[in-house]
Amino acid sequence: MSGQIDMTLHAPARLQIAAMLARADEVEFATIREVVQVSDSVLSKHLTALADAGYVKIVKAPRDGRQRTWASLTRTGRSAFAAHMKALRELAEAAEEAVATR
Amino acid sequence: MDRNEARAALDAVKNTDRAMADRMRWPLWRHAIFGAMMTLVLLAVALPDPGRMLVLAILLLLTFLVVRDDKARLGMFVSGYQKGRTGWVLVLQFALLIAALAATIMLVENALASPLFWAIAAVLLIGSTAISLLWETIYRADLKAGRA
Repeated sequence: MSGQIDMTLHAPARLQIAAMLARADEVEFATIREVVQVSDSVLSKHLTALADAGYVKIVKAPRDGRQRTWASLTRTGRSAFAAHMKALRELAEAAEEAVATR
Repeated sequence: MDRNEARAALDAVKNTDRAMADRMRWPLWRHAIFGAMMTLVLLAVALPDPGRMLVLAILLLLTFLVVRDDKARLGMFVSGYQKGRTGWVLVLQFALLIAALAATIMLVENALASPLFWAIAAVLLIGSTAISLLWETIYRADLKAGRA
């Protein structure tokens, strides 16, 4: 898989959301908000952008009498996240090599 | 994107992984339930039909309850199937289950009356619980080290 910067994952909060979802099967909205430390509205916008790109699947399910939102990374999302991370590592390593050979 | 942005993005992912590692803790009883579920799989294979159906129903119910409890307690569900070193732990679990099934099929006649069967079941219960604990240790270590 070739590393490629993905503009959908470029925003730091979106990358953090994708990282979280990559380590789990399904995560609740409130849990993502706590870890990524963004407001409800900001998280909603990022999740919608990721869902529109086909990277995230959003499901609403009732629990304790309340409707909860659950997010999971799609297969496309997992591939995009892996490629984006590879590109980030390559960029960081290339820069370090350039500094070392000066 | 320049080098500093790339580094900052990688650091942000590392921090997220660490936050996940701090959150993701399963109590000992949860690991024991997993061990019991593996033992129920063995029991389902060893028992004749009416008993087998009952055990499979209990297994399905337990799976549903475990997923629901994990989601309620942690705000997320993590299945055992993850990228990284935890995959080898799954291979180990699979090998233990297959060995227990093979020993039961080859050596046990009447499961419920056989001390050997209960010895195999005990080994599977304790072994699967220990493997589940090992899985959690490796999952968290990988998150903390940025290996996930």
